[in-house]
Amino acid sequence: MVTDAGAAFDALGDPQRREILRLLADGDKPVHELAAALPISRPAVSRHLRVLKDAGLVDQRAEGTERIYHLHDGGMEAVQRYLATVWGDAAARFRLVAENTTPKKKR
Amino acid sequence: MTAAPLLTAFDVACSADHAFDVWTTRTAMWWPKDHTVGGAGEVDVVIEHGVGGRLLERRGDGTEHVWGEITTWEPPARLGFRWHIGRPARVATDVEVRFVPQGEDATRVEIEQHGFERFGEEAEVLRKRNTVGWGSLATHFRTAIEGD
Repeated sequence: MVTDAGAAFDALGDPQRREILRLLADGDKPVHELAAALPISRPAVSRHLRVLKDAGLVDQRAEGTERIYHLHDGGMEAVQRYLATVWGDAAARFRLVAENTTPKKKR
Repeated sequence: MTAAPLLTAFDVACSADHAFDVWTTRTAMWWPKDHTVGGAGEVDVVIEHGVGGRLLERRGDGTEHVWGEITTWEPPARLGFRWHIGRPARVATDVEVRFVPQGEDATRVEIEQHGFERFGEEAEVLRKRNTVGWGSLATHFRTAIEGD
């Protein structure tokens, strides 16, 4: 289901979220540091982080009173698994239909 | 920086003509219904023929979700489209499907998906952090086909 396994794809579709990932690729950061580097409000950053976390692209840990965000190693694997499933299922079903239907011209 | 294209291929026991026809006119018969924007349920999958044609799903209630646009239309050899199912059009990837005759009733179907770099550089950054590359998809794909 696209809305499920494809969540990482959807998450990557937003420019602010891509920017957050770029910032985190340089090093783990708390929310306020991300907000300072972006032209959006801190609540907006938190909302984007929640989407990224739900998609398995980032994760967080607590350090004192702060939550530090970092890239999740398995994020791209989720995208890959999703793609493999889509094309794998589609191809298997395609073969089944193509091999068990009569070409139109011959009917 | 470019992310490696995804290449997959499999053989089907029919002519290239028929393979192209099934791919483009009977799409709803084989496209997995749970791999749609609206999910399983009453859904038609339509490919509008010719360059500029849309790929879309039409739900039972008439709602349409556009998945992409045809960029190459060369029946029965080649089909190309921009692909952005469930995502904004500007982060589309490019998919090319080639139907290569292997004799009277055998066709090799090659699917090439590229343009992953449009997801942004983070795709590459994240990819580098993983030992599993895009190439491993081919293995998954073969497993899926052979398990059929």
